[in-house]
Amino acid sequence: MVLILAAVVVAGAIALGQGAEAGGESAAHDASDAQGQQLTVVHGVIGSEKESLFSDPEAQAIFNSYGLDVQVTTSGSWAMAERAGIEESDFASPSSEISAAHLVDVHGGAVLSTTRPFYSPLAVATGDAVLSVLEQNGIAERRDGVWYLDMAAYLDAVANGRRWTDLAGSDAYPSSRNVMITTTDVRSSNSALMYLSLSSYVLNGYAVITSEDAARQQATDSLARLFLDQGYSQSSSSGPWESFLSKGPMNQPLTLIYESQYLEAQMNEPSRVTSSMRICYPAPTIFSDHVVVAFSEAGQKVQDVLENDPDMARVIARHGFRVNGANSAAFSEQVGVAGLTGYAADGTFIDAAQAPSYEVADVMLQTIEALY
Amino acid sequence: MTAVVAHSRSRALAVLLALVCALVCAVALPACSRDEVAEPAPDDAREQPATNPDPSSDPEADPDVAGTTLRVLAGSEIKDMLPILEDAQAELGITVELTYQGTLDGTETVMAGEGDFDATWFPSNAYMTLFDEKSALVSEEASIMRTPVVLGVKRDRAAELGWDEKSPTWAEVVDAAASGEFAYGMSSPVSSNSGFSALVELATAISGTGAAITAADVDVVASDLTRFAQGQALTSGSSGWLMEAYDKDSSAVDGVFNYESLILQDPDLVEVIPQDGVITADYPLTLLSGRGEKVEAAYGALVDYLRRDDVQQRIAEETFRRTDATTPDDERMVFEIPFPNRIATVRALLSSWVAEVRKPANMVFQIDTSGSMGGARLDALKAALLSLTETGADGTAALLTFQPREMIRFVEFASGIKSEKDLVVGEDGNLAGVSSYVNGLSALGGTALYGTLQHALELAAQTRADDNVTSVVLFSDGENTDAPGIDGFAQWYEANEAVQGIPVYAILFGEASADEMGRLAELTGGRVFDAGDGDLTAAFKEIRGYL
Repeated sequence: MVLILAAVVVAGAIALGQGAEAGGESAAHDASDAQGQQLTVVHGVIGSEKESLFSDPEAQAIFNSYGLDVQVTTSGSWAMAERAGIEESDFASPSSEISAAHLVDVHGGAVLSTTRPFYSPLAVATGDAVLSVLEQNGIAERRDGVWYLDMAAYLDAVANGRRWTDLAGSDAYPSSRNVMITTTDVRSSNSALMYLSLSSYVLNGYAVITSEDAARQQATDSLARLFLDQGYSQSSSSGPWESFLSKGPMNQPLTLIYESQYLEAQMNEPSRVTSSMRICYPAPTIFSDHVVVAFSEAGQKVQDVLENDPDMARVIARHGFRVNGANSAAFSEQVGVAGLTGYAADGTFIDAAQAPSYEVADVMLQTIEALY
Repeated sequence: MTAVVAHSRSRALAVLLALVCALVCAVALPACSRDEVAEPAPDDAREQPATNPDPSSDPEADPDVAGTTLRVLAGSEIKDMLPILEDAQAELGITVELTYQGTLDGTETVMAGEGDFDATWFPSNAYMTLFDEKSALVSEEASIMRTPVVLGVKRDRAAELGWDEKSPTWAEVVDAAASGEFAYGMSSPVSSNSGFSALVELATAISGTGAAITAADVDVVASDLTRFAQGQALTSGSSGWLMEAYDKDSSAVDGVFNYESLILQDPDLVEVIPQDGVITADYPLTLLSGRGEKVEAAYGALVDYLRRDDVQQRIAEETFRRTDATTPDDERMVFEIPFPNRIATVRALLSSWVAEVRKPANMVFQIDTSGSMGGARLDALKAALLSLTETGADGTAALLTFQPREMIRFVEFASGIKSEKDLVVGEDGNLAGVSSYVNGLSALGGTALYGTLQHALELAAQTRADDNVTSVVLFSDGENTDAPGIDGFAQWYEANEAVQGIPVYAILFGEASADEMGRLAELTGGRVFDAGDGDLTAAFKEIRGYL
């Protein structure tokens, strides 16, 4: 452990140098002020989809300007609650309310406070040819330039084992595979758990399942298929997304992602998002809330910077996340500056699904796991 | 709308375009994040600092990782990455020590907790994911590059079959193979990931459920698989050697199943992607758990290096694989076939292939039991041969044993032929006859290598047929002591049409002549397997993929 700490300090110092150059002008607090003072090392455990945000030199420079040297390790959100020694870190940041609830329930005594500085809706990365087929079959719809996937219609197609070639107009996408969203492995990944929650809500008549018996029944009857029929699935949310980017929507027609992944690529690696790729929102949608759980005062400082610093809000938005609170305009500003279209504006998500309690979710997961 | 599949050199153009694009759009990026394996088994050993500096700004060797050795169990597919790995080692100051093993076999080694490796680098972890042990044994994985397993068809044949204009369905590929219109080469699904992927692609598409194949589907597709197997005219234990064998003599086949990256490097082959889809190898560099902080840091540095923009660009240009530097060709419809999610399905499919479906092997084993073979050498030979009879073995090892329908002939020799034994494995797969014969071998006499080989080839030629795969395995620990020599043998071979085309797979062991064995392999279209380090069992298992 000592060795790796030394490594991180060196790494942090290099990153600080870059950050001061890259972000010096725009950072609210002059990063050079912080150079001389002693930085407090703050340890956090975060979901992997926030790794690029926390390692962004500008984000580090902003933390430095508050006297913080934030060092993070990544972990699956759902696994954080059971992670040995989690309460000894300064903060944890899982990627969903349900994982945060799990964490707070297990470590309630050690938790000083929780905040929700930013969030990202679940989305589907797809392509124009695929959407045109889905639209003709009443499964997708375009409103105000934004694509939506009708979850009830989609889940109905899955339940009936419909293939792309069964759909009207499938000449545009003549795949003999069944209509199925590609996700990560639900046994290990938060995004797949969100998709499970969303599907459960829709299949239950737009209501949250509250009893464990009902959860078991639904998992066996309809939810398991959403994962088992995919065959092999990757373990981390960057897996299917990277495959989508490199193989395209023809190869992988419907890929479950966080909206932030699509946005981050469009803003930072525009050449990878081709002209035929599209983002589509499930309707109803479900949000991945990035919760920050503080176990120490230093952790609370991190909460404060993430929640209130306007420059940090801009960096957060540049990584594709939607900002909560006073700086919430940062998201549409960044999207506007980048000239991006096809994104649902804040406040247009009328219909949002609720996730079940983590106990109920756990029953669903265990039921599905037993069927593998 | 018709799927356009004919495609070979246009990929170079795409790579060039991507290069221009990457230069124009050189935007500062946050460091590539590695895929954290988010298994619900917290393990401090897999913690990774996320605050890595951008490595491109630090041309000096990173002091954190310098001097660290990464021991990697890899598929032979990544041999074309060696120049890039050499540069990575020089820049990072680390040593990458590669050991090669087939994907299925190697995956089983690691999942059994065997071998002292820090990481794996197979073309795919799909098979690994089917093991319950994976979550505890694997710490992190990061996909480095991608290439699908496709069909490469000779340009003129593709035109005659119409596959250059309109891609066939897998059912049409099966029909063409069964009718004799399409003869192909494919590597062994048990030994090689490309052959395995091709088999899964085919079986899943034929099952027609639109979802991942299940064990119950395996029985349903068996008859179609058997029809498909009738078209196989070239086999191999690895994807690399399949291309070498094809390049040397492509007369017997119309095309090969192999990685797109290899097909694209042969201008005479047209890439054909069946309409129902293919399976893509994604080459995850995989860190095993509990290997210590230095190893983890070295792994992290290597992944960051390989995923750096300029290196991704270089991989695309030099190896013809798809990377972050290439964009998907939107005009082409390449559907992805789902990979089965249960290990029983994979085993059932492989078992059906070797025992019932594929053309049975017709093998002549020419075994040297001359005086020099006495003692430990003979014991090693017996152990190696007996490993092919262990029917109770676990996993793919069981699939490498002699299979029902196979014909095995032993020609034991020294100064002359000492014994001969013919065995046909029955439907029950009983191999007791083989083991009792092997156990009875004893060492005595000289080494009449080529004279015996002439006899072995003649024997093989007698039973060679379109519906079997005929070959000779030559095992000798010493140099030839009797007439004829290699030149005399070569003359005889050239004059003897009946034995031509039967590959001789020679095992290099003891004092055997590397030069002469190499010449023999070249002459007959076979291959030399080096058992110089004494692991005869591994050599025989490897050869089994070619028979």
